[in-house]
Amino acid sequence: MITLDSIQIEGLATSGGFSGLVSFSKGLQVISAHNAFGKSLAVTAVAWCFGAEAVFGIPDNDASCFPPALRDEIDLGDPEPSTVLSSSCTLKLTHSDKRSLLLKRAIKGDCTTIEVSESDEKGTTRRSLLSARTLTMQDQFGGFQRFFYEWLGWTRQRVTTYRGNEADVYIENLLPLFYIDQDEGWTDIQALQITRYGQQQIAEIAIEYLLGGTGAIAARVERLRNAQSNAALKETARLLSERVVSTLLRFGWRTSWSSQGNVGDVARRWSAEKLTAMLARDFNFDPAEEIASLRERAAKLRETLTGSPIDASNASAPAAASQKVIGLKEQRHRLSEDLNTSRRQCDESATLLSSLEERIQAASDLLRLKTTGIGRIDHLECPTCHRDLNPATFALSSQSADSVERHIEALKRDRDLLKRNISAIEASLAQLAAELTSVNTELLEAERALMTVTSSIGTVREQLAQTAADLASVERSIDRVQSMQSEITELQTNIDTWISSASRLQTAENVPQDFERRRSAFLTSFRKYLLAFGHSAVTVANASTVDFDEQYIPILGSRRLRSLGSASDQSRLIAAHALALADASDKVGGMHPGLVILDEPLQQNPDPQHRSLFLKFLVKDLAKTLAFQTLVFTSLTGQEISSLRKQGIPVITPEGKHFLTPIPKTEPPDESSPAPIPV
Amino acid sequence: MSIESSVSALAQLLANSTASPYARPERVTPSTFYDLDYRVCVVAACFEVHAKEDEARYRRILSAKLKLLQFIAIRSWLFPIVREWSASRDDPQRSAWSSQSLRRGFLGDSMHDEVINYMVAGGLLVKAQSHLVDAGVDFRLRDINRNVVSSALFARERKTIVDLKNLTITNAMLEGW
Repeated sequence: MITLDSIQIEGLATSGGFSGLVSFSKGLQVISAHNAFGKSLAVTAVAWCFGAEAVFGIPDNDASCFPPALRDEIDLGDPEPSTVLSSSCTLKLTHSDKRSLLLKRAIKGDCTTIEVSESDEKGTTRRSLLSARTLTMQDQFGGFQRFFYEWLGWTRQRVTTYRGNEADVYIENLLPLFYIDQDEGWTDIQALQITRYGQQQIAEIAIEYLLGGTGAIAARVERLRNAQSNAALKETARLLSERVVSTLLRFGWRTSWSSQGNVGDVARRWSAEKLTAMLARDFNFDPAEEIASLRERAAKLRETLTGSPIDASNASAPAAASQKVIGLKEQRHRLSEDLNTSRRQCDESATLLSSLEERIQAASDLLRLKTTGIGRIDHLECPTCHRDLNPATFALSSQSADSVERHIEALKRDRDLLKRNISAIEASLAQLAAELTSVNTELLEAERALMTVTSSIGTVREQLAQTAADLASVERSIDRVQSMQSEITELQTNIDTWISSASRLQTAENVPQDFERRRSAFLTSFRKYLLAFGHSAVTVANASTVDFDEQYIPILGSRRLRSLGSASDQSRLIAAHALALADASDKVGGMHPGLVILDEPLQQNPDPQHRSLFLKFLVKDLAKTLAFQTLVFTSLTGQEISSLRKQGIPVITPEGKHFLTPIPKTEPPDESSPAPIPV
Repeated sequence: MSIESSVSALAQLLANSTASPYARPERVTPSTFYDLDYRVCVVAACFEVHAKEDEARYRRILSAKLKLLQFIAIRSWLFPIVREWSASRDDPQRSAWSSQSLRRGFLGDSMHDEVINYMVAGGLLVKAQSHLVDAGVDFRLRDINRNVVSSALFARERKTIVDLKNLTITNAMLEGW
């Protein structure tokens, strides 16, 4: 736990130096000064010295969170404002184990670094210059946040991001839980939380971190990692299944190698059967057997060509070659016809689908017309006799909204059916196209063989030419099957790799039971603080029904607490949340720094009741006995200040008109002034 | 008796027999095409875009043209066919190649005739020989269209109606030739 001992701001302007200092002690303190005194300036210095300006939504090392008095011109009581030459702020922090730390960061000047003076319990001091923002957590030696986390005893926490990589939990992710700034901090719980870093569930992780629930964060991060891996695996499976289906279609096989279902289901299904086994079962195709059989045939043909006796009386070679060409042409014709029919079916189905889409749109619009009544003729009357016209007289009817709704459902079902039909037709088209390509190749070979055979003279040469053509054809078939085999093997390798990745997907860790204790302590404290602050929706009777949902959003029964109570309850809710978290962390040994800053809690609502409730809270025993440092920056009346002081609440009332005051100029050393130069 | 109650009555009768009736009422719900409100909105949109002012500054449209326009507007997938039909009007050879099925199909749209009769009876339109004239009773026809446009309803139908403005629709086409 740390204590913020002081905030100091100093600078140099053309008319001289200026500075401001406010010191604090432990426990609850109220810093009261009039508006425009510079309280928020001091509060901003805390986030700035922590290198957490990102909470203000500004770029790194951008000091625009400070007023122009520290960056451009300052009014130091001179007739003209003075130009600021340099300015900086310094925080003094003391750890509960007596170590102390001075953090100094320039506001005007080089603000990319933070000057750190670290003193140990023996008083030995070490000074370093650390990078405020660049690689602040990643740089082991030069990053400020890396150093600050170690000094605080915090552990570095890696979390998943929406971009699929990992990031750290930075101090600007934790600050919104104990630093409530005047401008934005009161708009919601963790209103200053940074979302642009893309850390997943960072608001929940920040709470768990400060409660010391590192186990719970590890389980959460593991779950998120699993979800990301799961989504990636699903996508890979989809692409892989599309590739398998299209490759096999190219070979003329239509399969249903689907990636539907969850990763586990797909992995089980894909592990159950290899691609080769499926091809053997459904298409009676075994590439190894096929190649062996073709090789055997090639060997026989080679033997026939080179060594076997030839029957000179056999004149069947030209007829056989011709018959083969005819058979293949017939096959090609049939396939072309089927292909055309399928294409026509596909086009017609697409037109029908488009008309169905239009009809669904028209029916949906009509349903809107029926339900809203806009543009409807409620009734028409005869212009002569002024009697209402009944549409039924004209054999017309107006459908009910219910009927139109059912019609839309029916159309949608038809559309789904049609979409499935179109997918089936497209698959059939691809299969037919693949078959046609294969037949065309065979036909080309057969035509070449026929040409060779018919141009040979004599039956012996005819038979030799026929055998040579057959041999060439078989060898080409071997090449084709080998190429198919290698493609199938490659696909199977990809599938096996995917299955092994899927089996590595670990089941998400359960949230450790220890965290339930931490969460429960937070909830108990939160209920206590809500009652103490006087949240109008929470009473002693219903306080036990206040709970946190999965995202730690406070709920009462089934409703969000934020939407209950009066408008001024919003700031009481936020203050209760911040203090309860610090209180719970203290009780369960969490990692909360033990510092809560509430900037202008009374300015959030002009309601006098709000002011009175807050002041009542401050004098309660609960507030007086806070184990952690709570700094409330506000503006109180003289009567309120004396009343609080009487009841033992330390109220700091800085003197002067403004926080920043000129530093009195010191006299130059007494030296004899040089003699005037004669003109 | 409505269709739904007829189905229920039939289901009850069948229930007393050995049959196991399973009624899917959505399968017998009539299409949007047969809804009076829908047709009135489409007619109003067609009239708004295609009607022209006469000498007396009344807006009017040929009845047959309105019949064709609304027929295409509610079946916008037929628009390419009408375009082809319109483009081939001076080329008998080309005309023979374009679809013939639509040409007389719209003439048989008897529901449109009933919708027009209803609108005429209610004073929204007046029949003037071959034309329909906006009778101007409280500008209700114009109001219907304005409400449809402001509520962004039937956008596809309205787009088709506007697209039809770029086509030449001849008297021969209106007779189905």
